[in-house]
Amino acid sequence: MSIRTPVRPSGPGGPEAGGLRHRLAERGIDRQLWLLAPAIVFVVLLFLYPFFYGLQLSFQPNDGGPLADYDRFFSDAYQRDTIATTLGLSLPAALLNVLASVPLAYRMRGRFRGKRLVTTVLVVPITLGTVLTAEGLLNYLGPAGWFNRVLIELHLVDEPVTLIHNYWGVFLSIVITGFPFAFLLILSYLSGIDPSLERAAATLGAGWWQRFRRITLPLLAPGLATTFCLTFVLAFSVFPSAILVGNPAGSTRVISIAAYQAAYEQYDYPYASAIAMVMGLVELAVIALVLLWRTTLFKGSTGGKG
Amino acid sequence: MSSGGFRALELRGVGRRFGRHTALQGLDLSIRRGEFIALLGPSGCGKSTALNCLAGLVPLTWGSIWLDGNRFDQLPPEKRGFGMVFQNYALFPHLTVRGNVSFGLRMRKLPKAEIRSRAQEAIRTVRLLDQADKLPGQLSGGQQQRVAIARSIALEPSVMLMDEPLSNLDAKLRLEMRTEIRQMHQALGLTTVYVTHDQEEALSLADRLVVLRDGRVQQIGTPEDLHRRPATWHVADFMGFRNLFRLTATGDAEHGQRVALSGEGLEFDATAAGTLRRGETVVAGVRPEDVQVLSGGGPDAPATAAREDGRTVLDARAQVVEFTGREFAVQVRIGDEVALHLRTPQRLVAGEPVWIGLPVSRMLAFPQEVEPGSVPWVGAPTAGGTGTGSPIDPGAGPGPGSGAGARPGSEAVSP
Repeated sequence: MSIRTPVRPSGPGGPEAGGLRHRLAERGIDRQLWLLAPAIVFVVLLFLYPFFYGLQLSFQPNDGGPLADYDRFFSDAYQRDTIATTLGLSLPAALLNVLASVPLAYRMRGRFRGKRLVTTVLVVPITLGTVLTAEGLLNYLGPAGWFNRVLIELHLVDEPVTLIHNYWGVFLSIVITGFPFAFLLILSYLSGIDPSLERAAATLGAGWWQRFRRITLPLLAPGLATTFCLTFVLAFSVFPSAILVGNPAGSTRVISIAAYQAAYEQYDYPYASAIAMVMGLVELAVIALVLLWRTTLFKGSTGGKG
Repeated sequence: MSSGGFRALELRGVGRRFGRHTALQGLDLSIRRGEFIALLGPSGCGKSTALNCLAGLVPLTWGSIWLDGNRFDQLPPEKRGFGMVFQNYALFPHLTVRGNVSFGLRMRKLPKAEIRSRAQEAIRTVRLLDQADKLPGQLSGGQQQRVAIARSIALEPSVMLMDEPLSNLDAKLRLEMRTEIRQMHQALGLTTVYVTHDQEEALSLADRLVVLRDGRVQQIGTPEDLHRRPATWHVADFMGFRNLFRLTATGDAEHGQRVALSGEGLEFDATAAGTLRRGETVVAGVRPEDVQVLSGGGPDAPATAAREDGRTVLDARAQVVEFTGREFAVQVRIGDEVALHLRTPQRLVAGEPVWIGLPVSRMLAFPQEVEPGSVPWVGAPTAGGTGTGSPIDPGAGPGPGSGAGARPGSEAVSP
């Protein structure tokens, strides 16, 4: 690839050269294309190369045919079930994050005093990272943590509620770290909807629920689908909290733990690569389903029937 | 409550404050059924606030709104049954033209067949039947505007509210749509409250005008009233009195009487549009089309500046001459300071001297009753030298008629 960008003064006989450059520019090929170079280098070095390396590695198992490791994964129930475990954590968590963000963002879409403060508080968990969040949850939700102490003092429960080292610990951790993403994304999608649309709907006789259901929600739906996909992907690759506040040998043995064990406990890189590929495929399948749902939903309310 | 059969819609002392800013106060207005009311004023005068108060989109700070003796200013917008056309049309982008127009009907839970037929009828009224299945994004600005109107009239609202509906259209389309709105009002008889900053639009459409300034009503009247007898110089400014001067009354005068004014070393005769006292500073105005051109070697040409019976004759010099098609728009200068705009069919030559006449009956002198500090004067009055009179440029400052004043860019020709 040696694209030289000629800065040739169009002297005599220039019209052809100038014409070519003009025609290329019309198709979007000009010197500004170089601005893409750093991004392309990054994508190739940090994503494409590792991805294809892992892909080919997954087809070269230590013994057996090219698909032996995939076969091994799917025929072993202990391994295969990690898919269900991970989906069981990440799908409800992503859904909860999106559903909880919508009313909050809807309420906060306008301008009001202290909006910046509220937004900051909601966004703080992003900056903390999963490990710190998990540590905090261990203290706060543990048997001697003050969440349980308050419940016992209030005589709501007799025994401490077990909220760590099980499914709920990981679930809460994913919700806490994923919520700010969902909230910020949905808030920006909502801000992109012209507020006069709702006012117009009001003058046409629509109450608040109808305004939300008929105007805001259909316009927001594509954004909700995107937000769901992003929070789902974040949740699906859960690893630190599954170990720290979960039960990594049992109920929260997520797929990334399986891949980790294959790579760093058994030193079987091809098998680990195969598991990582399965992980990617499951994510892609979920995203494809959501995007498919999105198109039908949006068409439905845009449809010509009125 | 969507009965179109009300008798009167009444606003009593309606006002609205945003934080510490009072956007509107003391608006009293009684609207008869079928009337076309225009709220007119510069941006920030409170006209849109008044409309939003009527629509229920903005709660009132003071006052009340009544429909035939029923107070309804506490009702949310969806219960008022008023139609509203927004400045940016606010069409639902995910619904087709038909979907937009039938939205309100669907909210009323009408039978499917009725929704279909009424939406169809409204779309036919605005002549968009062939575009009915397109999305708003596929339509031109004028078509979108018509959809917005159809969406409101489909509900047969008791009152139609329009917020600068033509301001986003180009000049030609604006004229066409203006005629269409007028025709539609005549055909359907919908009571309409129309907000605009364009006096021509307001004069041509409305049965009655409400001129607002700084949140207060300046004058309420028919287009003829406002055109012939503006109550204040602010209204005059809005009604095409492009030439406004600050002068001093040299005698007492009651409303309608003749009064002599002086300033800028000149003497004028004018008709008082209020009670004036000797020595009081007044604002005098005359429309460009009322200024007479007396020269051109005709028999009218006077020998000297004089105060004749029916007019003040002044010695001026043509400065900028613009051909506007049917006539010439000319800026002349009287002395060194005073610029005057006039319209004449005569071709004047820039730089040539010209005699002009200011008819006493058309030159109105208003009391300068406005609080200090809120007046967009150009150049504060200075003692001595230039005297009390200095030309008012209404185009300067945030005051009324921005853009209607002297255009600085056109003062290129100077003798």
